[in-house]
Amino acid sequence: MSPYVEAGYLVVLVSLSSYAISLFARERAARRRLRPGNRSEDSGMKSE
Amino acid sequence: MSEIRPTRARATRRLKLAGLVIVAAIGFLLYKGLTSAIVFFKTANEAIAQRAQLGNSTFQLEGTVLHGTVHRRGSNQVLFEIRQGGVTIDVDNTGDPPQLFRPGLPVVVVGHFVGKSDRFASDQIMVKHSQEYIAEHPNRVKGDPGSATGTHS
Amino acid sequence: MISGHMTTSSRRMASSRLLNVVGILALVGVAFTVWLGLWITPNAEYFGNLVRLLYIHPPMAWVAFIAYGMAFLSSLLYLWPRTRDLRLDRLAGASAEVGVVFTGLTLATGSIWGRPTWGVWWTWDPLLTATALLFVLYLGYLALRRVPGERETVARRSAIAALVAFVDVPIVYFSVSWWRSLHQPPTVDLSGRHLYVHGSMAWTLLLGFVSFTLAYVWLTARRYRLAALSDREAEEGLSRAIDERRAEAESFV
Repeated sequence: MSPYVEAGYLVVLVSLSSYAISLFARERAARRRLRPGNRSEDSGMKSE
Repeated sequence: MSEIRPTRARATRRLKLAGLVIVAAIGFLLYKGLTSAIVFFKTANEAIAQRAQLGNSTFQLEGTVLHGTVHRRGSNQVLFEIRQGGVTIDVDNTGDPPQLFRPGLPVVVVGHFVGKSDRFASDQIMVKHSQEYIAEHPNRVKGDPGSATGTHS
Repeated sequence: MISGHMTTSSRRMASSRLLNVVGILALVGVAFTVWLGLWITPNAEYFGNLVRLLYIHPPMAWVAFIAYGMAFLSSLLYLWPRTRDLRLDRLAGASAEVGVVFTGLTLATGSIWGRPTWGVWWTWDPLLTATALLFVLYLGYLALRRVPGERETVARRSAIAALVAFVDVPIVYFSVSWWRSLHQPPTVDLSGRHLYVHGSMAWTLLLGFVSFTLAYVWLTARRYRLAALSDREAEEGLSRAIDERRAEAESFV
């Protein structure tokens, strides 16, 4: 297979999965930061 | 609150820098768009019509590669003719043509007219291809895609 | 937001489940696209193996378009007084960020495809130039969103910026027909509903469009949730600061 084809697919898959992982990480960090000072509601909210 | 201050100042500085870079990039791209992109190439007939003004300046020239005109010279040169708007121009290209290069397809070549002649010396071939993609037919004879003189049409 | 906590949280759980389904479908769809694209579909005449980039490059551009379309629409609704809602602002920001990722991928895959087929990594063709401009314009939009200010002020100026940046989207789409371009017209012609590929190639391309669109939905929803969390964090930080200030003031009395 042409290295260009492989490079194209690789760029797409690696970029999108890194972006998805970064979103997960940032969401989890935000939830963690919110938890200690958490005064109301939120008990029904599940982190995945 | 107090320990947030310095990081916020740094964030502001970084944001200003990013803004500056982005504004500069937008300006540059608008400039490129209005100068290079809006008239990306001249067709063969236009180039001949404007031959006097063009002199030996570098520009991009478009035309369809004519069948039976492609010849390799040495290891690094390809000679061929391109035609557009009823006008044919001899092109003398230095450098390897791209994989898709073949007679019948339009190309954009980057270069200039040689001396006072109507010959065009280019050092870059860009192949224009259509939006159509057809599955390879196993029974058909296929031109070698790497060769500039592919026999397939 | 005004509704009770119980309904909010149960609705949130249901939407979480739906989102997971979308995520899994996107993952499976992309996996199938890659499998079909790399191994099952035939080589094409003249292009040989290089035709395989067809299954990822146009979907990237398509997703970028719908992402900016969504940002445009929600910004417009935000500016409309009767539908002014910060959720729309978050959606616009989330969608635009995902759009920037996909525009970056459009440029990257296009460049990788252009080198062996056209012969160049890059050229100042109108379509390419307008797409690069699109990328930078929305980077500017994202940077503008970070400029501090009152929440509503930030939302309003971001919405206006989203409308301005969107001007470039039709320019990109029509550049191939408006100006002389090296780039070929779109393989999927939306106006004439004409598809310039056939058989398994067409199906794979279609699957690529659907799968990456699902990936867009999933990523945007996740980014939206993150924005909602950040907003709540900022709100709580603010109310905490006010509480502290109040406590301070009371201790002086």
